[in-house]
Amino acid sequence: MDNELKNSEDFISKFASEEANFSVPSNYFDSVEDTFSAKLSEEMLPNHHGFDVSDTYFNELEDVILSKVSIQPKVISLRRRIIKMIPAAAAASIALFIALNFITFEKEVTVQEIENWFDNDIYRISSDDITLAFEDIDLSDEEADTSINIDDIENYLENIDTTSLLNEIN
Amino acid sequence: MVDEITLVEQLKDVHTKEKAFRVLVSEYKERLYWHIRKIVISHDDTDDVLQNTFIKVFRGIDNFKQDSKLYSWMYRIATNESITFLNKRARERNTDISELKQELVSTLDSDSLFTGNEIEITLQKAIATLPQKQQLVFNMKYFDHMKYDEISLILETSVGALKASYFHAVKKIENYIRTQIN
Repeated sequence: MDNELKNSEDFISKFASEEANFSVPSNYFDSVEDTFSAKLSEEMLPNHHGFDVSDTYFNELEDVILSKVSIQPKVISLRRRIIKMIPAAAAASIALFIALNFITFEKEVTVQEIENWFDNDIYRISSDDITLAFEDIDLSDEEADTSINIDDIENYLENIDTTSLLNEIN
Repeated sequence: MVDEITLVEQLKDVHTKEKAFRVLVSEYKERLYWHIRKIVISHDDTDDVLQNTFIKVFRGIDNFKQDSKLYSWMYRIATNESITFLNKRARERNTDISELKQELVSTLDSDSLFTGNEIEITLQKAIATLPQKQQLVFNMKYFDHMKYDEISLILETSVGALKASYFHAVKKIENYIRTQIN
């Protein structure tokens, strides 16, 4: 009988090697003990979590959620929109009126202009240039050369009558 | 049920979005509800978090890249919303999330929507002692019977790490219950 079995095994081994050619995921055998141990522990635990919910809760859920995310566009009447815009339009008109009449806009200086200015030595302005630029102002040499002592300025500021300053400004 | 690719296309199309969203809510409402409920414990809080989850899904569907499955993406949103909710509630009560969780499960025996027996309450108390990640892994594996591959996509954690988390979770729960019984 043993001989018969041996012959059969030899016969089979001629067709295929003794390797079964099955494989397992990498590191599978590293965690077998843990998996088995966890299985044993699980068996003593209850199968259900115990949480419950009212019978009708899930029936209404779609409507509740959809009411919160509805993509229906809002309808706003044209009349209401115009009425809402009136104060803003009035404020904008006033601001524009003030800007046009009381604010002077100076031309913005470009980098190129500043470079040209330095390249041509225009920043070296002489007193003659100033005189030519401001022909309508009477510049006295005496006033330009006068240097005022700091103590004198402090004295002046301490003793001056504020009313006279205000009068000068006005 | 329409296939996932078609459903996502319909969700991204403004003309079919609302109808497709109703289908989506109908399909996933219960699974997501129970997932959230096991994290935040109370029904009312679960209802809030579930609605916020679906609102985020609705508003964010245009950014869904389809490099993961729709349900994995929604589970991820639900998980994040639940944990954000718990953190916020913990801050309001000047406590941390693990203490808050202990407080929440300690009220289960008076919760009319908790029908579990003594051992099920003890199990919830044991789960509440785990670190947050282990709680999630345990709930998803033990109660929801999810595969590690699926959990891996949702929690963005390797299968190996999930197996280790689950092992530690089960062992801690077993020890907790044995201590309570003795």
